[in-house]
Amino acid sequence: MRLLCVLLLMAGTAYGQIGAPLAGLTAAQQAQFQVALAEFQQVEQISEGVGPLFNNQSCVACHNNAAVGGASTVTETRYMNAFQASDLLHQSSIVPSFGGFQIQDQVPPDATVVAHRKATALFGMGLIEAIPDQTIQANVHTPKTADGVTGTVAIVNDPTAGQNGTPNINAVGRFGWKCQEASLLGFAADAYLNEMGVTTRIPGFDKDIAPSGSITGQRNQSALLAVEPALTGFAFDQLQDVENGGPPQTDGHTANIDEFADFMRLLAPPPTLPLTVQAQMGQQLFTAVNCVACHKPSMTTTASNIQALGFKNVPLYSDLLLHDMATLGDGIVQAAAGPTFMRTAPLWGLRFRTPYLHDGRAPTIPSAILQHDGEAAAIRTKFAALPAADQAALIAFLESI
Amino acid sequence: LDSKIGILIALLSVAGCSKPPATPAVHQLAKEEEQPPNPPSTPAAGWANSPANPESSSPPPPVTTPPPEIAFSNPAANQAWNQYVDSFESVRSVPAPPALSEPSAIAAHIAEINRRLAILQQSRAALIGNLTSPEDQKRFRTAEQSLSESSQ
Repeated sequence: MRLLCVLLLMAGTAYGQIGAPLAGLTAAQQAQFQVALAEFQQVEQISEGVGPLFNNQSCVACHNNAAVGGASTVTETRYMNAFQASDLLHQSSIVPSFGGFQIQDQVPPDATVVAHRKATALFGMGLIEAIPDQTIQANVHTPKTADGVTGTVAIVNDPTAGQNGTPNINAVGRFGWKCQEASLLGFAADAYLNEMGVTTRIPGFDKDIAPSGSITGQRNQSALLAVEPALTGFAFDQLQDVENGGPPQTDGHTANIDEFADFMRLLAPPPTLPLTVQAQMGQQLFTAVNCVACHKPSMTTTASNIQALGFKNVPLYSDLLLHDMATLGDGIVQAAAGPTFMRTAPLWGLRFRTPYLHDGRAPTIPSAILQHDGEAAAIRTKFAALPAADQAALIAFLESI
Repeated sequence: LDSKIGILIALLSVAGCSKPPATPAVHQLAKEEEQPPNPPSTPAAGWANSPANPESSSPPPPVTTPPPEIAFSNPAANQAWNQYVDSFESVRSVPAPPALSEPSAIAAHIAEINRRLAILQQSRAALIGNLTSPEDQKRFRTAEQSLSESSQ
């Protein structure tokens, strides 16, 4: 059945289209991509570890705009209290109520900040992962630019250190709205636990951890089970399966997080459109206004054991830094990011992820630009000063990349 | 035993892909997401016209609205603010190139935009240098946001 699914998917995937695998993959890597693509769409069950709290039962449920792996209009809700302790709200629970013990997540009454975040697009993530830390660090403007742009490198704890060739414990965060993850394996483990409740072998996302939300105010399963021992065995993902370092399944497939990471790593960047004359002029205006101070047009990858990822130009239009965005920040403290700090969103594939900004508050690209603030305030005002036709040209450029 | 039965029902519920109802906050969010996006506010049609189109050679004058009223505690800041608004309007009034198919016209247009943006940047720096109190800095941030929005 699994093989049949892969063959069907391979028949429907064309290179150069949104959602296609990277160009230049070996036959074995192409097959690996198709297996990973199928797993990314798999609907998981409780028997596979889903819950007790979760937002959905498959990755594709939140990553599907334009193609599998895209952004979506689905937003998650995060909250934070006065002590800057933050967590994620889970929409669903496998046992909403049990013996008077409430296991339906909710925003706690002492939350002082409630924010919403869109699911991000995953196209080209392998190329982003292959950008050296030093390249991102070099993007910091010291001293800050005349427009007031500086940028901060997000140094984060990489829980996947030592696994799958990610050697740095303190690495440069580059994935997520707050640069909270440094590797795709960590990104997958984070999402698998916090969106689906499935624990993995990755420290911090392992079987003694639950996405507790507001259940107990603590994330330790053992403590919760001490309170309610009847939940043992099915309410939490304590399965000692392949996800938690157990033996591979009989069909030989690896842990799901490895396949999710493979999918993101081997997924091609969004295709660009030919630049019209108007868009070419918009490209020049993009530089003239100095959008490039943060939305750096490209960076280059380093060597990779996947040849299709090594020494490649990555036209992502981001510096992968955190910036103080003032009123555009989501108010949440997470990893290395303060409440007003947000990652420079890559602009490639922008046309595939309407509405815009982290919570979808902007229905159009001009609206998104005009809501920039903080370090981007001066550049926002420059855009606002442009004649309408020039603004339209700049937008035409952004809709082409 | 009743508890065990309750759990079994819950498990079967998930197995059938049904989900517990979302919290009111989540439901409200979902409703907001269903709102269709507004149409783009910036007209692109003028750029698609041929050079012979009269609109290309004589674009409509930019729509201007009065700059946001603002009063800083430092009089020098008020003067700097007026200069900043003037330089903003100066960028906004750069005429469009007569023909997009003419590279030299586009280059000249970009050069003029760049020149006026540089003046805008200088006047902003001068203004910020005259903001002597946190209150004035806050007033500036608010007024600058309004200035940006007023151009749309």
